[in-house]
Amino acid sequence: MSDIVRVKGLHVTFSTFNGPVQAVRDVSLRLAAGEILGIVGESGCGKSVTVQAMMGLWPTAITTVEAAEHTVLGHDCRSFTESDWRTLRGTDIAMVFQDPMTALNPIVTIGKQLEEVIRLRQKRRRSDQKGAMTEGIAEEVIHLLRQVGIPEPERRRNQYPHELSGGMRQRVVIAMALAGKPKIILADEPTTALDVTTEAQILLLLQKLVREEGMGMIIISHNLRVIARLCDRVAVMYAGTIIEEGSIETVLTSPAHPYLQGLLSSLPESATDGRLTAIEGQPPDSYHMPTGCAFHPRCHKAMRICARITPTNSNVSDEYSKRERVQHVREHQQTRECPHQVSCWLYRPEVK
Amino acid sequence: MDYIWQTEGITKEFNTPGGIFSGKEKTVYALNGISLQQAPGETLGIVGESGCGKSTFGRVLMGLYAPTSGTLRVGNQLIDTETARKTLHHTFQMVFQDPYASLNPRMTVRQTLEEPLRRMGVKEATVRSERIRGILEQVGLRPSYSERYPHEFSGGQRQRVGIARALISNPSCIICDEPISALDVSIQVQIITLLERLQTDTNISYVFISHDLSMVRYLSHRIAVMYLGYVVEEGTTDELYNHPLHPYTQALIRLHQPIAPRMPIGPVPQGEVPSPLQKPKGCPFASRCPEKEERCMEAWPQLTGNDVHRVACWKR
Amino acid sequence: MYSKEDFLPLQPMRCDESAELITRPGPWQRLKANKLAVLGMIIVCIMIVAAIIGPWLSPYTYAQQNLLEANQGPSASHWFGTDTLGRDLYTRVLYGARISLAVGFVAAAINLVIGVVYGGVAGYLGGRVDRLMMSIVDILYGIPLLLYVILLMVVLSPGLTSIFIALGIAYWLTMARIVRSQIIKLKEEEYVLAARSMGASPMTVLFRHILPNCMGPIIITMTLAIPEAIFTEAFLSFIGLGVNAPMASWGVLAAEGINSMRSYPYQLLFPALAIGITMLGFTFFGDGLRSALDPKEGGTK
Repeated sequence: MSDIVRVKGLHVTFSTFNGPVQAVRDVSLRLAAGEILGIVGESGCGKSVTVQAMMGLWPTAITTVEAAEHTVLGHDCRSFTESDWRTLRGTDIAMVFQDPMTALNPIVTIGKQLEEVIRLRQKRRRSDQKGAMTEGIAEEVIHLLRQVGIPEPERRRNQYPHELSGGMRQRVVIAMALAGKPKIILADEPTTALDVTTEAQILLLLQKLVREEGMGMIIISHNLRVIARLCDRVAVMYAGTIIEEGSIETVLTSPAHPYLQGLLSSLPESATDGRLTAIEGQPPDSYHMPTGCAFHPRCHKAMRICARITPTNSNVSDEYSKRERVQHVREHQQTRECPHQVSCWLYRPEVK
Repeated sequence: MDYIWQTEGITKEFNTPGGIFSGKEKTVYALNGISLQQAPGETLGIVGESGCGKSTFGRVLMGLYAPTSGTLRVGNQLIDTETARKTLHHTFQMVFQDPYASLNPRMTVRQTLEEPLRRMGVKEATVRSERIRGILEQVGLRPSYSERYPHEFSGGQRQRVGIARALISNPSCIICDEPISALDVSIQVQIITLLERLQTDTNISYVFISHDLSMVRYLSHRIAVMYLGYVVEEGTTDELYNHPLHPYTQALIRLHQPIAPRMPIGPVPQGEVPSPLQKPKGCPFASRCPEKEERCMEAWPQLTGNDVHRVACWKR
Repeated sequence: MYSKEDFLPLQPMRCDESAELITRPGPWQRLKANKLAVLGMIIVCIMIVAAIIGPWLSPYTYAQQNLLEANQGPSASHWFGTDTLGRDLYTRVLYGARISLAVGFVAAAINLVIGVVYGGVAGYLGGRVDRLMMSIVDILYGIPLLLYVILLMVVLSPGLTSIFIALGIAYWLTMARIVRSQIIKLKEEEYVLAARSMGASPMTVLFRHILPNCMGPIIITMTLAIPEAIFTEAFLSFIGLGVNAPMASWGVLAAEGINSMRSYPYQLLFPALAIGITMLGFTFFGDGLRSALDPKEGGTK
């Protein structure tokens, strides 16, 4: 299986009034078709910026995006212009954001908004897919609404966004994303604004759609529960870098980085009888990044070197990944390696 | 048993004014007969989804809203007049959800904390600043922070200031209205452990209002599950968590299982919370309940059971 | 490359308490740091001083005619030149400053007193009172200013008094609306709820928690109202509804200047400059004042 998104050494810098701010530092990511990648981290860790930079969503005037490699669906994106991006985003890449209200035009019915996306897709694909168009747009709208689980689509399509509940609106946004028949879906905190029962409904829907259509999906969330339910692979971000990456099984069952360990042990459901242990301190702000490993001021395992030099990635070979990967690969039809990587001095060979 | 407070059939309706053009007056039924009580030193968790009335109930306790009907008793005193409601702040204090909005941006921490002290009649400036010093240390902030403005703090620190403000007038119960939902995960736990420590130190009671069942479970001695302005189930934490009886509680608990890779999502209650503009005739959850029967649509099941566990469902 | 030392546990850093102490510049320092605001303040001060003592320093009076020296350009004896009747323009511009600034400050005072109180009461009480009070504002808004003035001229004689009364009727409406909408917004803020839940009285809530947080919009509206009032006066005088001859306001001077603009442009230039510079001064000063009074702006270093 080939990668549909591949980024190496991504740096994103904003120029602000107080000087340049490095929002994302040396991030490498890849996404295969049919795979769900989760990016998890606290607010301000750069998870949204990473994905938005990967999709060319930042104005170049105040932002510098640099990458050693940056390919999306086979295109080299490093020299992309804004119009190249727009072509790609409208069709092959679709996005689902946190707040469905801002993603929908409040004065146009949802049916009309869906039609617009479908027309746009047909226009763009006309050149390479002759004859595959001009099927009934109205039927497709109904089909899409039904696909995302909206009851009575014939009536609903004539409604305006404000007439729908939050969960329904998010379903409409997902339908709009699907209308372009995308190959990649980016979901940025898609369920954060929703209640738990609605959240679960939306997650079920996303999972079903991605599996059925064979799309790749990147889902950003601060909520480990969402990530655990949905993802095949997960990248944990802290202060602008990926500190740990691996399959969801390895990352959740044998976390390596002290930050992730702390995060997992601070979940109330994991404190069955004992007390919760909190990670002390707070994430650094991007104007005052600590030297060395960004987590060292909060880390209880910090060594002197952590404060001096930023650790590089190392592979962790834990028991779990050896034993169960084979079985796991069989179960989920994953045909490729999914190394468990962590950037922490504790796992560097030099330490031993 | 002596309770700090006790409510009996509290209801609250909000009328949206009908203007000249907007047509008829609408009524939102926010609370539909809430009967709860709390023992000293305990934490009562109130859990439910947005719009279930949990925050409204907190504000009724605080005296910010007058209930439409029903009674609130604090100790042995019946709170039934506006004058009586004005005294509720001696018993209750509140910690709000949004640490960015709940502090006056033009007042330093010292000014914010001095206000309740002044109202309590602490006249000497030295006594006040000594008390402020003590309370800041208690919530894990440096006393030197007292001259700072709210925007100079992070979200977690602001929430600590909010807790200090609630604590400084020595209430017997703090109503925490979603105190952690605006914070990052690692900061949430810091606040939770702080609340926990304060309770061990001062034997204060909390009403902990949240949509996050796992946090509620961790902190609470008793839990009340609310849905559409009704309490559908109430009991001690262990009993409620280990033997949930109401289908809605069961669904919530299923959705809050310990994290595991690829944990299954379903089954999920279908549909959505009905509009609070109409009072349902039967059980409020009937429209989404997988086990509903004829009688569920006919009449509302009363909250029945014993002191340990009460549920409002026809089938239990 | 790495020494053994490197892998020893990191000593927990001792936080330097003094480093945590912040010295925050007060509003005055922050105002001083803002160059435009200082410039605006200087302009406003110079205008006020000039308006008060300026006419005394001139050997002429505003009404003194000398037809022999009519339409002279700027010179050592007449700094700004003279007008068609040979009156000293410098004296007349400074005298006009008195009238224009007086109009400006009266407008600001009306704004502050009537506008803030009216809007504050309407917003804080809400409900039926609010609706009634705001309907009155809406009705007053609907009547054009010119109509008031013309009607007033019928009742009173044209002159400063009727201008003041006209401003008094019309100039607090915007302020009342802005204060009301601010208060309605702030009333629902959690910190106001928090103050109420701690048993604060309505007066404390209004004056300690709500009004201070409206200061920004209030100051902006006020500083914008001053130049606007000066401009209105100039406009009314310009079309002949303002102060009576031989009294001079900037508007009167500009109107006279227009008539002879082709041949003696300086007769228009000086009053126009005075109007323009004063308005800029108030705008800069007002903007600087607003950010200086807001603790959220300005560095914390």
